Amino acid sequence: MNRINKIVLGLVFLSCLSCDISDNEIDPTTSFLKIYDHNSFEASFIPIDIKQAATGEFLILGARRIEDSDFLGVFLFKVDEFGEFVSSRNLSDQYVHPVKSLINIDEQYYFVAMNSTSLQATLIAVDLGTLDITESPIGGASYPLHVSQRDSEILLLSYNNANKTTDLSIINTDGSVGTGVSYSIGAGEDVEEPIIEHFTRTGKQLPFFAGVTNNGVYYFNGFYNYTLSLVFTDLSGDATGVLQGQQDNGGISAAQHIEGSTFALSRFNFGDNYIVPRQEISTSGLTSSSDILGNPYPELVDDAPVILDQITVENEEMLLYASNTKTGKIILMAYSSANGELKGTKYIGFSDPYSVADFTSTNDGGLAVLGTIEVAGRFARISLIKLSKEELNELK
Amino acid sequence: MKITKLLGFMLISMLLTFSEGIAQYKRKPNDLDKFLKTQWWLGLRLGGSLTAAVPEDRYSGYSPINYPTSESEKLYDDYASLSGLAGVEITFYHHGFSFSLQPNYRRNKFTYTNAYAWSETSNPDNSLELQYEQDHLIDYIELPIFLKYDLMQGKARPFIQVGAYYAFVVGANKSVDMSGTDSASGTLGPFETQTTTIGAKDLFIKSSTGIAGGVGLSYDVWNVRLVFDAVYRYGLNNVTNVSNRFSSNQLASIGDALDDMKLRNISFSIGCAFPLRFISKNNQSVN
Repeated sequence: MNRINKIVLGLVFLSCLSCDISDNEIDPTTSFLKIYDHNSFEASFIPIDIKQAATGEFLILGARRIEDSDFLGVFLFKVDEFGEFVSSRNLSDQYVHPVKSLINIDEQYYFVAMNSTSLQATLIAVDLGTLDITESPIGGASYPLHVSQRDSEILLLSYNNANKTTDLSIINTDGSVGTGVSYSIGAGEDVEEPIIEHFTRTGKQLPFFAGVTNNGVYYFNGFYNYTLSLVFTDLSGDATGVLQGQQDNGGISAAQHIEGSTFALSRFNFGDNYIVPRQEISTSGLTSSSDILGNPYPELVDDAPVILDQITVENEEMLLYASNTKTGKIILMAYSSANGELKGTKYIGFSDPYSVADFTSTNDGGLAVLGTIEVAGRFARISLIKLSKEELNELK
Repeated sequence: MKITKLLGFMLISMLLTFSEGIAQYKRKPNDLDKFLKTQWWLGLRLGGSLTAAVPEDRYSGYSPINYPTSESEKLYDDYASLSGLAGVEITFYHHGFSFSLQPNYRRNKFTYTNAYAWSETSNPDNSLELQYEQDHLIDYIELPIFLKYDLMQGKARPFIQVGAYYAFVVGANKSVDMSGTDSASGTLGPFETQTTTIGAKDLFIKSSTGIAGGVGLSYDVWNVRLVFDAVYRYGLNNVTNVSNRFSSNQLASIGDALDDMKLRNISFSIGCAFPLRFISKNNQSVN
């Protein structure tokens, strides 16, 4: 090799090495981590749910501590597509106990809270631009526990303190109630104690949720016959199937319908946690959650809250679990929807403790994880972690 | 401005101190001088370097709700930490001009701090102030090439040099020290926590390029040439790996995010170089 060839080879080598200079660009909306700090000791933020609008903005629903009330107040929070804080609004103290989830119907956002005086469930519409609200009391529904949607149908799970029943109702955007069913939680004053403690946050935060399968079977996780149970119903009478827990000491902590009678689950049992990525459940019989084995996850906090959803990663359906570890990190676990195989895990957090509230797929194919960070180990602040599509693909 | 003054002062000092060289330059050339008009030199150099990180687009993990973003913005401590360099020098000299390739291993160290404060609304004396001091060490292998011009001839030769460099990262880490004052826990005394150090190679792109200029003095002792120089490097590219700003930074979880930044560096080195061509007693060149 003559001298000129060596020089040319050297220059080519150097130019290859420096390719990273010209490639060093990224859209700052694709990946970020934000902590929304307030410089007051008393500031209190408990994030509940997040949705991304078509404009790229994120709307966050949360709860805040209020004086002279056993219940939590409501705040709304908006950040831009870069994750920067835009505006927030503390709702009047007459609205308390906002529940998961934020509903998006044709870019109109709704959530459900409770009237602090009448304890009636109230559907609240939010103007994304101004965060102004419009309320619509939901007739006959009190103590809201969870709200979800399938297309434009809103499904409300609530507790009727007068009749001691768990109620599941389809509601309209004007607050009117359509079809609904009520199931007794069981006789006696003690039965409702865990429910009331859930509302006043003086006891365990229980995993109430409701949903509907692709084949039209409604289900909810709530108190039924003295026990926290996953109950299946056709909204026309008695429950068609029940997956019983162990009073409030065991049961299902998250569920996602996959296909037929196959669900992805997580369950808790006297502090222990189990991940069950694929499980056949009888939706027309009586079974027990403690009979479901699942993968034990001792690294999760006792009776861990679990967020579970089915998302698409590189054209493949994945089950994404998010929960809290004993080391103060958020763990994301991705399982194949097809066979329940664990594909990847990711941890968020390092020194100050994190806990997860919710996650949502984003417009760019990434993921936004909403959580709480204890800044300086003592101030609970909202955090938003945006993973790019490429970062999400690493879970596959 | 500080750097310009420093380099100017060094240049003037050298010109004054070695005015003796002017007399040597004017004497009648002999065979040795003719021989020395073309020479290859090979040498070693050691020294120190000071680095500044110049932020361009700024980023933070904190998005304040009720106070200005500027309150928690990073404060950079420029040219504050001395670190080392070592390398070799291969120089071709001809008629006062030299082309010099000076591969070296250079450590860049820079620091910034973030400060945060919280207080109780009803009793502002109850407050917590926190300061995060974050040190960064980036180790580069650098391939600079300089054009040097000797201002004078003789034993003592002040010179100026300009050039460019390409460097690639071989290692990096960052450490954070947290300190503060917690008046809410019943004491006004400051506190500190243990230093946390993490690997940070993924936070920086592999390449760094820039231009450089400097002044120096070489002094011949027998067949050895001692070289003292100072070089200012002006980085031309953003060294932060923007893709990994949040994703590969463990400290992102406490709100840290590297800004887009370019590096500036001043290095001082001392070296000794050996000629690769010799002259025999009968004035014949020996390579």
